[in-house]
Amino acid sequence: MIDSLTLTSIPAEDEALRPSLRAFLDKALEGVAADVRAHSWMGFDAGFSRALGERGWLGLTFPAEYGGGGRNFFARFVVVEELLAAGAPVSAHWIADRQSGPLILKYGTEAQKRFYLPKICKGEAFFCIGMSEPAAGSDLASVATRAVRTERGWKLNGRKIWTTNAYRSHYMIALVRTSGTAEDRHRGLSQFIVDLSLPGVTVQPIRDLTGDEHFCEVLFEDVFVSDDALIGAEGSGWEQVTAELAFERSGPERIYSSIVVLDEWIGFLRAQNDPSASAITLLGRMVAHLCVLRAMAISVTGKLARGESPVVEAALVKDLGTEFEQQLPLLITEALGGEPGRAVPLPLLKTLAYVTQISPSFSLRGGTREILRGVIARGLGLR
Amino acid sequence: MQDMFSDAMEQLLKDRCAPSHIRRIEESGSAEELWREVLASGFADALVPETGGGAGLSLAEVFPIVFVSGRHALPLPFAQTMAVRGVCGATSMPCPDGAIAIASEVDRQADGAILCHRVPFARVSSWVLANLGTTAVLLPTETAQSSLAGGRGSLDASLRWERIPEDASRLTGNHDWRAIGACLIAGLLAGALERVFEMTVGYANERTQFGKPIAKFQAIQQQISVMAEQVFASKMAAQIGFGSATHLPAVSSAAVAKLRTSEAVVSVSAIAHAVHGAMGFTEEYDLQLYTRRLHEWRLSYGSEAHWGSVLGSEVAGTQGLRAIDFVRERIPAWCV
Repeated sequence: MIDSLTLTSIPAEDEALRPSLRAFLDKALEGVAADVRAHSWMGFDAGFSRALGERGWLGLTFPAEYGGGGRNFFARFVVVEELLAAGAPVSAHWIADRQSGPLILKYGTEAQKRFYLPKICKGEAFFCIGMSEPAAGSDLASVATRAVRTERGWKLNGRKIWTTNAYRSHYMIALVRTSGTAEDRHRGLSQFIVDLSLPGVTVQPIRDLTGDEHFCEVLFEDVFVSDDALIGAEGSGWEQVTAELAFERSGPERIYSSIVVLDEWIGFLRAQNDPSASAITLLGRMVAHLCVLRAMAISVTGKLARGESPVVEAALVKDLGTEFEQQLPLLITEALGGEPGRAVPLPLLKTLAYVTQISPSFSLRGGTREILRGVIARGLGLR
Repeated sequence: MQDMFSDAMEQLLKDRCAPSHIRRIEESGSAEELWREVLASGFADALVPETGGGAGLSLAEVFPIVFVSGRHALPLPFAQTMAVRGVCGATSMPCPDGAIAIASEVDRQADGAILCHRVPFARVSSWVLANLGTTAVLLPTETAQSSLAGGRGSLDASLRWERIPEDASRLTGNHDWRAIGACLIAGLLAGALERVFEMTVGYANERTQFGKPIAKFQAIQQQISVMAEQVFASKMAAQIGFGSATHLPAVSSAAVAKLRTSEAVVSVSAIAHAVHGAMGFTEEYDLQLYTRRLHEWRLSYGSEAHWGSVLGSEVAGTQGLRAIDFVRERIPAWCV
């Protein structure tokens, strides 16, 4: 069975990070429209990420000797929560701070740690995730991109797809096959840190249904990387990618993707003298869900802080969290449409439209709903 | 210490509150023997200050005991009695020995009669704490006109007294008894939901169709995973409700607890019955002892609709606070 989640509080010294960050964000985001802020962790601004790095808000959980904050996961929770609540454009550094950095810290050589981690902490090295391929989505073990050892180092050939931010990232941590064939499944996979400026790498952004460009197709044609690009042990890619996904799935961004539209709607309700009873009830239900999900996410953070790898718990909170994120725009639409005579401010409408359009991705990125439920079922001993 | 208490409670209920005991109590409407055993355990005074002879625990510390009571579908207002005794103890008021139900919905009639609507566990209680707004009064059930207020096996009753006895004990202090009742029921719901979940996992692993346990089918696995999410969320919600350093819950925290656990009832009971098939629908199989209660408890002390309205009004009326900040600042959740 799965370990149950215990009510956990954020230590005071980590809560103490909040006021200065909030003051910084109030200033940095002054006048930014709600529908822009609603992009949340898909909003890309390299300068903003560097500014966070200068102030010590990146790499909080990395040791100080690598330029990090030497703090625990609660500190990161507080910072991430404030960034998301404000709708800050955090996409540039997001993946590096959340999973690439922790992966390098856990499996990297001393030289790799010294090279990459300080750059991540300064907001100068942006990463993307090289997992999905045209024929390997949910079935990740069937990746076909291959690295072959040669006299000149490793030679990469293959294709990655749905790679968020590849066209504006410096590095990709790619899951590739180093031995065997697709039939060998989890065996024979390894991870490489690929410098995306190398010859033979072609990156093509793919426009999404909102009109934005974030995910990409990445082609590797005889890309040569040296031995020190291999991260962790050759052949341990599956174990490493599983640990990486626990980092990816356990953060509060799986609850807060629609938080900007919720706050816009709350502002709209507060401005009314006679809000409808059904809208108020709906609001209460949303806030109760938010409260419980946040407590669950903090509890998972407590597990990370104790050095555990809460793979199943993270899957459980992510599935529940993304359902909440997806419900918000749908229910707000129902509430607004329920009173056609009441004029809706344009900023709220635009924000709602964007979040509605982007929301299908919430339960695709980082593992689909069906895959997560499979992870939970395995944790329950059903499979 | 918490684990010690809940382990002892677990053992007591395992021995004395087996499904056969529950069925007997539901049939007869009499639970005096079980009540004496629960009272003898001393847990009923867990919230009474040490100076008053109790254990002086906080609501957060008694959560595991209430949760275990829900896991065993304890057919007694044990949590409610514990809370009322805690309130009495805090003001050094004497409290009678019997089981006490909490009536949050009370009508006073012009002729002095008093009506308590749909009081959970009233059939197996000696006393009803009737909420009169600024005060509350302890009324003996033996002098009440009592009508069953539920379906088969329900322990809920609506009660009427011609007048309030002159010597009735009055509890002073303006307590929100609906919120207190809601919080306690949320703790019971969380426990019962977990039990239903475990029964469902167990059954899915045992029941074989098409040559393998039905737990091996993805369609079943996905449903049980959804159930797990609801059960985990409910336990967290109940911990938030009980997250108080005193003997009483904060109203907003109780609201979250009751809302979220009540909501979970809908999908958890539906999935439990779907997985169990016809067997789960029989009187003989124990699932019904729990799912009947889940729906009763969802209705008691306000469902998700009521608490959504309470919480939503609070959020809408708090100018300038973002949703996350409202959660952080206005919904206390004290950790032991």
